[in-house]
Amino acid sequence: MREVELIIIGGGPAGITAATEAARIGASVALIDENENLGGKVFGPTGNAIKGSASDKIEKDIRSQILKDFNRVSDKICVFLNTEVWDIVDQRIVLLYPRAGSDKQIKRIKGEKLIISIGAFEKAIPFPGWTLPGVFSVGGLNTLVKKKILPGERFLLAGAGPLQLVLANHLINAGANLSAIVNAASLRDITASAFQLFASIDSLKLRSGFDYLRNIKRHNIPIYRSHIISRILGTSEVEKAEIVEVDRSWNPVRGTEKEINVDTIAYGFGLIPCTELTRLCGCKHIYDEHLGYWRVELNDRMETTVPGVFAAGDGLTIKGYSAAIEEGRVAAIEACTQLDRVDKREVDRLLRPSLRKLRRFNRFGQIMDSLSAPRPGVFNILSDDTIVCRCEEVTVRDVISAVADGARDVNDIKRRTRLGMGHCQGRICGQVINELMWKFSGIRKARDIFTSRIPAKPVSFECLAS
Amino acid sequence: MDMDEKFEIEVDGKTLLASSGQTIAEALLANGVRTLRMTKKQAPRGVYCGMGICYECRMIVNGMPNVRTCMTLATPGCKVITQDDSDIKSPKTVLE
Repeated sequence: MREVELIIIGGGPAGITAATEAARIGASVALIDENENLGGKVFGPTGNAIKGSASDKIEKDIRSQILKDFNRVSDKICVFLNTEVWDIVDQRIVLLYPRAGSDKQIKRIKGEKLIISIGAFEKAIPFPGWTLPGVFSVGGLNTLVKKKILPGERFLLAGAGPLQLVLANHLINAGANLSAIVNAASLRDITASAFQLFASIDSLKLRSGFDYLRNIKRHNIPIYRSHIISRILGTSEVEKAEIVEVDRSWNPVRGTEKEINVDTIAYGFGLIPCTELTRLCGCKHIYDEHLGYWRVELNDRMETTVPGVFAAGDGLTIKGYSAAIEEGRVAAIEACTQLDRVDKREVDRLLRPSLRKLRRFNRFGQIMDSLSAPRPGVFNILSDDTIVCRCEEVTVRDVISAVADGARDVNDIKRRTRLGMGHCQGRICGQVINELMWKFSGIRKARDIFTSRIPAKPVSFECLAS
Repeated sequence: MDMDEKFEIEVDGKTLLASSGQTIAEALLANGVRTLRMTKKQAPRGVYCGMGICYECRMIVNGMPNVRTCMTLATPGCKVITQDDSDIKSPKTVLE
């Protein structure tokens, strides 16, 4: 078994920066990523092929800087690409599944310290028709558009959260026909948070936001505030979308439905951290009602409740790449200090600039998350036929009857309906199953989460057997 | 990476052009192919998350079923087949 001092899982902005920092300090480092290339979603191989605004230019500059820093020390880092992590034993031994394309066949690796920086994914709320081809997550469509791939003719963006603005701009700049932007937040919500955002003074993000809004206005793209998608019309693919006005709690206002002629939809309510690996390690997690997701508990040096296991980036709370870079740095410096590779008297001085920036980024993230956190009325658009678990095709009707039959908690629902048992392992439906149980039973219990199981990602039988 | 270098891939017996650096899912979407899989109940599915989380874009690639096409680069000559979940006899991946 290969042994290193520090294992970093996830090679996005946080993981790359952590690896660079630790290698500079002199620690032996393994960096594992499931993708073909390092960089994650934001700093991926092609970056952004679309000519963008001034803030896009800043993003490109930061990307090339952190990749340049990494390449300077990359010969000291053992990089595993196309490699899934499917289990972590004793918080130290990481079990690997090299997919096709991986140049290494190592199945397990041991590290004294562990940094988990596996990023985030889209917060999704089911709605009638959301499984049809042509409905993408906001991040999913954004990745395509950044590579100049337009998977349709007429686009509609719906949901909430800041990523919607980013995608709208990429679509406009790529020459796409963007029919409308549908946002659940009201003008009042947005104005209120704008004041808070000014107080948080993240000038780069604020400037991007204004650039984006100005561009949308200049292109006369209609924005429907206080609206959500109520259903999608189409048999084999998206043919039309129906939108509806919502009240303060995002309850649909009947009679306000409107059809929009589009064939491609990006839909999401911001991002939520991937917590499967920190949960596998036994780290404590808390559900943050304000942010609207589970997050791992950390001290200010990015260490979880399990000593030696660190976390960094959007896998903690959603703040974007600037914060991820600082968090990766802090985690690496603290891990190296625990490895006796950094003089303990030096640590505070080394960490101070990053910690100061992080306080600001945290504030910014909180405001953004609270804008996009789904409100309970949004579940009133569901029909009995609406799919909740996309993998196992479990419908609202199945959930209702399981609850009527006495299903007690999310793991019980899973046993009775197969909800959460498919390939994605409950990553999508697990986000809403508590709310649905509360809604259909009329009883609001303590929030529950699927028991974390291995393999954390589907792997081949051969891999398990070895 | 040279994004303009084109090569052929085979999708359900038809030849499509892909660009280097594109995943299989991206190559298909660039060619207007949006339905990548049929579920057990014969509902069409395509790319949803685009980042390896949702597993909706699974197809049969070079004979291997359940390959996430959003995570797999297109290579010259690769053979891709629309996956029919009702017809997969022995899936090569396990869950729990």
